[in-house]
Amino acid sequence: MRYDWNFSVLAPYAYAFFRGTLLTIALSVLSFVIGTAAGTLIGSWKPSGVAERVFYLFNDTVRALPPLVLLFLVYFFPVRQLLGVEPLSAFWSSVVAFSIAQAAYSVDLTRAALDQVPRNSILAGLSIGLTRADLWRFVVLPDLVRQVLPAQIAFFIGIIRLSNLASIIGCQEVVFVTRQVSSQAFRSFEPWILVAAIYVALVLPVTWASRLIEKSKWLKRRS
Amino acid sequence: MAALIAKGLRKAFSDTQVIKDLALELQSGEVLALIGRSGSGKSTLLRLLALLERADGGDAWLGQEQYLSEGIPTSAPFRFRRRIGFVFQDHNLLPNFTVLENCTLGPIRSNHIEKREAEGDAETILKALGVADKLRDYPSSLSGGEAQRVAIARALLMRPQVLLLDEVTSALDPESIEAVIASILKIKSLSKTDNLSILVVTHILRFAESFATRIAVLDDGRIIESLPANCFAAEAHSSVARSFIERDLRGWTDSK
Repeated sequence: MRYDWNFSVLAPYAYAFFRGTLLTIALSVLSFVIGTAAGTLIGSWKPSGVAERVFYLFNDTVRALPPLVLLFLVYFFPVRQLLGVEPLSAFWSSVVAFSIAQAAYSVDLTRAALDQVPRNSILAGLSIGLTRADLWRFVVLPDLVRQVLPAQIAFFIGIIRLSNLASIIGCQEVVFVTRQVSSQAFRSFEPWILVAAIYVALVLPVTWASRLIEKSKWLKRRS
Repeated sequence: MAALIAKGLRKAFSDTQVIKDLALELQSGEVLALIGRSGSGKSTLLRLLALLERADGGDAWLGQEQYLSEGIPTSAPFRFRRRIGFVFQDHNLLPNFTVLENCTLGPIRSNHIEKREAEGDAETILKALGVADKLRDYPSSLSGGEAQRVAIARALLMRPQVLLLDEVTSALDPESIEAVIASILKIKSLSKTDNLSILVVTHILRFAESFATRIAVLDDGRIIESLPANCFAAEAHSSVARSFIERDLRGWTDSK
């Protein structure tokens, strides 16, 4: 038994793979940054009563949805009929959907972490007359970041891997490219080896960075 | 002249009235020691005065300026907190800041003092309190007594008009208590504020007698007795005061 390896058929598509990879990176980074920023802001806001319950129902609902379903809901949302504006491209629909999912996770993460910020530190910050903004900047936020960073990096890796769902609605990220190449080049295995290598190359540095950060003196919570 | 006045101060936690219509006057330059049973509301009172806890009612003045009106701060609370120093029972140093950073954060951010000047001031005070060799250390590597001395330095470096000390020795072993008390005795000479007024909550009567000019007894949310420190042991007649005096005969530490 033998298999005729032939990676040379992929050579003409190098640029397509390159563009697809860039799109994957853009999709992941944008969704992560937007989602994390929104989720952290929302998580720091403390609604009460009915507002809190409604908000949590929404948040839990979003988290219950499979990412693909969420993506379709965003992509097929009748924006023209309901909002009177042009629908988003496949790329931006994906960014919106993944950002919503990331925001929902970040809200919970932020809330849990805020509860863990030592009350004594907050009192100390108040006692030296810090303004609310300074209290956040010097006491709350550094502690929050230290707590959520490992989990957020895991979410980021999750988004990189999940971003290929965007290919289903026609966003030409790297898996979309791979599917096209594998049908055009009449080679179905080699393109997938290549794309696997690309994902590994994208994710491994993030994993290593996260290990470094976890070990770093800076991230240590001394209490 | 009064440095701090409080009138009609009230605070309840759920159904328990902790501070009941309390009146207090701290004269400029005075050191007032507040004693009372545990649970009598001493710590709560200090937190109310420092705006670290919301009062249910009452008025308070810092010097001539009213800062609490019917339980509500008359302006942004941080403006008043900057002028009221506070030392907590557990040092409450920020765990991720070094000793020096803990001591300069307030002066730099709240009092807008140049970083270099703030660091110079901090080193001077920390040296005087015997913790100058810990400047770059984190609080977790300090002993309880060292941490508490740093906390005293941090409060002093804010150059407050009024300094509140909340049972600062109660979480310490006897040896550290001595070092911390020695530091407290130096506060007045180290303070850059003329006539710094100090309100100290303590359970060590002998310390109160040696350090304070006046001793007040807090019981059931009110001040029930207030006497000059030098005649407190002889003249105090409330049962709380008497029990403190009797217990004190057994001593706190046998230091000088």
